[in-house]
Amino acid sequence: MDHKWTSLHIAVIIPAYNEAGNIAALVQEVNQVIPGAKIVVIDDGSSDNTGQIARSAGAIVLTPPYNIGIGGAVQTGLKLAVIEGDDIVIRLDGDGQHPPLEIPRLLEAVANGETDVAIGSRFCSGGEAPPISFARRIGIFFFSQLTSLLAGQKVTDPTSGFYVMDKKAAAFLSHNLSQDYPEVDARVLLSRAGFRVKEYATKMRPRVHGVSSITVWRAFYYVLKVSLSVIVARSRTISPE
Amino acid sequence: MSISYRIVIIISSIFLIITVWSLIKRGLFRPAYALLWFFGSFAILLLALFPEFIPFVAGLFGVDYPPSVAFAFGIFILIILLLNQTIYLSTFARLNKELAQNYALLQYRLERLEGIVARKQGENFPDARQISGSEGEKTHASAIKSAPGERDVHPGDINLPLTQT
Repeated sequence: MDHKWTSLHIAVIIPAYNEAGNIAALVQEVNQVIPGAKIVVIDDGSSDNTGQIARSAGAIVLTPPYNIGIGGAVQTGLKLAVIEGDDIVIRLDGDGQHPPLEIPRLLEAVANGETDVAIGSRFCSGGEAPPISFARRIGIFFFSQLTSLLAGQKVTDPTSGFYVMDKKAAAFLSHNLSQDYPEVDARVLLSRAGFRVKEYATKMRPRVHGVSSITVWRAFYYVLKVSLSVIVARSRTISPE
Repeated sequence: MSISYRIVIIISSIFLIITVWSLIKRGLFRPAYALLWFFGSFAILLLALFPEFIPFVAGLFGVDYPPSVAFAFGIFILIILLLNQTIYLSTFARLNKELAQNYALLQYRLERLEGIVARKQGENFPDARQISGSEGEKTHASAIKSAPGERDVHPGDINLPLTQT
């Protein structure tokens, strides 16, 4: 492979909460797609043996003593990447919905300096519409409108957690990422801080094992909380570094 | 306001002040957090000592039913106290998260360091058997010392401030 990024230090951050069924395959897949990358799984207070499985699959495992939420978990990984001076940080969901095969395209964009942050989107033109429920589609439409407005640029998939970012963006998010709904907030925060953010159409997979952390019952509450959070993200104090 | 009612309120507010004070003394209440409670309980005491204040305020704002001013006042104090609690709770949640993150990071670094030390000790083992005890310890110490340097990125970054967020 003679990609530009082969010489870069790459960290892949995977927050995982009870993903024992998915994590090993995901780690191996990432390892095949970008060999040599540092794979960091954050075992966020799982009650199953997610951490153990990830470690035997070859990942570095960070283990907070209790569940600190997806934002907190991702932030832990970002802090490690910043401390170790990694050039590029990739963030994937632990349920395997972000196919590692899509990474190189996003990676290339960041490594070439085309953008500071590349985000995989399910709804970008050219993408294949995923099989999601009507209610969820409405929720995502609402969020994308709200986030686009607050971020000052078109956002098609605000809840996507499929990020490839450069060093500076990683350092910025390691200080400013919100604990509860990090993805939506991050879009607003990144654009406020002047980072170039681009979406790329990517396929996403449905989860193979386990259950999603968002249930129908919580959906309405979720919409309200995220809306508030993203509106606050527009005005809350951000640390420059 | 009847005399007996005033006495009850005065006694209750004094009781509240004493309770807050004794909680501070026993270390169950941090003085910094107790200030609002002191303000609240002294305000109740003052109102009981000078009950004319309530009808006065009611007249000032054109309130038809003066006792409602007393309720509004009480609710106001409670809201301030609750806001304060939420601020503390959010602060603690944030600090708690940072603590957990740093714990995870330090644990990882410790495990890594232990691995390096174990490897070094393994390498040094044949020598250590031949040389005397004190020199053996020295080899051990140098193995530990050289460990952070092995990390190619930031030597000695164990001292990096992790708390900034």
